[in-house]
Amino acid sequence: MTYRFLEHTADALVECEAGAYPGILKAAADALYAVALAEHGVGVEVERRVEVTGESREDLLVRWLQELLFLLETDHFVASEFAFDDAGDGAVSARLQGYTCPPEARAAEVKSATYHELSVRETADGFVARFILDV
Amino acid sequence: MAELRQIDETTWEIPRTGAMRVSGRIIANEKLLEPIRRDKAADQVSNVACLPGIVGHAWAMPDAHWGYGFPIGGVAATDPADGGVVSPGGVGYDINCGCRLMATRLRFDDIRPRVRDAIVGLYRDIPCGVGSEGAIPRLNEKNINAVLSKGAPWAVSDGYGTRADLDAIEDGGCIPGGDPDAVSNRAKERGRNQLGTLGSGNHFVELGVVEHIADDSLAKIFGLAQGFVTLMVHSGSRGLGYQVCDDSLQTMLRAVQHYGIQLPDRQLCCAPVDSPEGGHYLAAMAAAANYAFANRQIIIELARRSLEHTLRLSPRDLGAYLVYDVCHNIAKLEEHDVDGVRKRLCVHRKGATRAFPGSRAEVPRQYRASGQPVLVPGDMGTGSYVFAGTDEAMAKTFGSCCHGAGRVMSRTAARKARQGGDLARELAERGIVVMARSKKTLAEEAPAAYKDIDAVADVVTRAGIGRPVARIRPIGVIKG
Repeated sequence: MTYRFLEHTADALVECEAGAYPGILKAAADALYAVALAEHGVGVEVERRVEVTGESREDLLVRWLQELLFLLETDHFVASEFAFDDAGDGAVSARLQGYTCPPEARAAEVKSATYHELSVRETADGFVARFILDV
Repeated sequence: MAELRQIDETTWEIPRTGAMRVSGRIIANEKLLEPIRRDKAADQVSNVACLPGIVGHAWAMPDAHWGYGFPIGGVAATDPADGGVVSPGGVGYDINCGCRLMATRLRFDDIRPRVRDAIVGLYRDIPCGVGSEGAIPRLNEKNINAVLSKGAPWAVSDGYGTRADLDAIEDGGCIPGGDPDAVSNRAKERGRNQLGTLGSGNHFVELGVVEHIADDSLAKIFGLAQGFVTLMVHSGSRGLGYQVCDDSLQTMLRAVQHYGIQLPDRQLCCAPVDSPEGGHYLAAMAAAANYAFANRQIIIELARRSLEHTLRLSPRDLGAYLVYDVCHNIAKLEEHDVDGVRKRLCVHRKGATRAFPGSRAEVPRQYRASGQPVLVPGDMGTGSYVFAGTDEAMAKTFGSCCHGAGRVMSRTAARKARQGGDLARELAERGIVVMARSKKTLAEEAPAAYKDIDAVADVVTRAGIGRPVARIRPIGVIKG
């Protein structure tokens, strides 16, 4: 399960690889936090639940990231541990453990995850996803 | 990549092919066109040309670069009477991101030794950076609804600035039809603590000095004089606007299925302007735009107070007055001539500034003889331009001009090329005091990450979409 940043003139173009779809969601979350935070901590003292629905794996990926971003912006919540009860077939349901992030630990403002050049592909080794974060 | 064909000194055409309903046009010169050829901005112009009801051409300004949905620097107008659509991707997440310029009676030579003090004061007094909270208390439901429906006039009624400021803001600082009920609770939640905050990324407050006047008579009308200090603010609708865009995209993704609209990019999802979905988006967008107007109104007043306090000046001595405030991420219903026929169009400006001549009723009375001020900030180490709107912009680009220099280097590449601390030192050696919350952001915003603003300004002038008025050199910058 990995992510890497590809060249984009203004924003953050991310490519994730994982053996299974939940791994893509976890890698995408890590990439989001890599952009948004100066340093990703390891605290697990706060718990949140995320549930999103969507018509496709691509939809679910964007809505998952938007939900994590909403929690970061309004609750200052950063997830460290992810337990997926459901991931795919039109819904993602996950229990997140994490911590409250102080303002000084933030590095950049991510406005949203976008639909431009969004893709989730099945490969021989699992899944590859691409998405753009507007920063 | 889309085929490009030069049709005059500053215009390249993307011929209509495939699903394109009109041709695309890019205003540039050979050098500015290079990065547009390298990234996907030209392809995005072709995609925009596929929008239902688009008229004229899909345009890219000289600062254009790859964005999402529309290119940054993109302009497109649709005709509601012909099924024309409104697309949140043609406005962007930071609804009514924009610039405002304040002039002062301060001569740079008189405050030169105190510029650092002034920047330290601005950095202290204007909330900036990611996660920063506003200078005013958390907004309750009544107040946030008032901000969304009233915009900058709400901020003035709350003690931030004067009524005279409102005469120098696009739409008087309030887009009619802003409906708080069209804005979700999630969006309001993201906006409650952020009114009066600058944000991060490319947002800034910049002290500058007018170093060159290109047109004496226009500069006099704008109140700009060589050697005098200015202050520019670049900010938008913060998290509230981002959430309004998120929410509207979900609606529009359903709308394209409902209306059978075929698009090459899902980020361009849209609905007919005169449909319930289109009307709902325009009401929510106007509300978010009003939040942005109020935000910039509060920031400029905080800046005024900060300069008076730090430099120990009376309001009269500072002599601060607003030159203008422009939106550069917005969709507006405007009347334009299309093939000799007057039409009501929905004009999307995504990273583009309105550039109306003085003949337009939308232009404030004080600028009827000159055309509206067009504010074009460059990078923090080079300079910014002030133009005046023109008849030629009306004829060519639906009264639109560029919004800045435009990025040419990715954020990753800019960070690799620079370390924030080194950059601050280098700018200080050039007489520019920079304070930033994040060294990462500072490195990403390095001057080398942007196109040459002088080249962009030259193309704007040659293309006739703006008349040059003044060039402003930065002397101090605060960034998030």
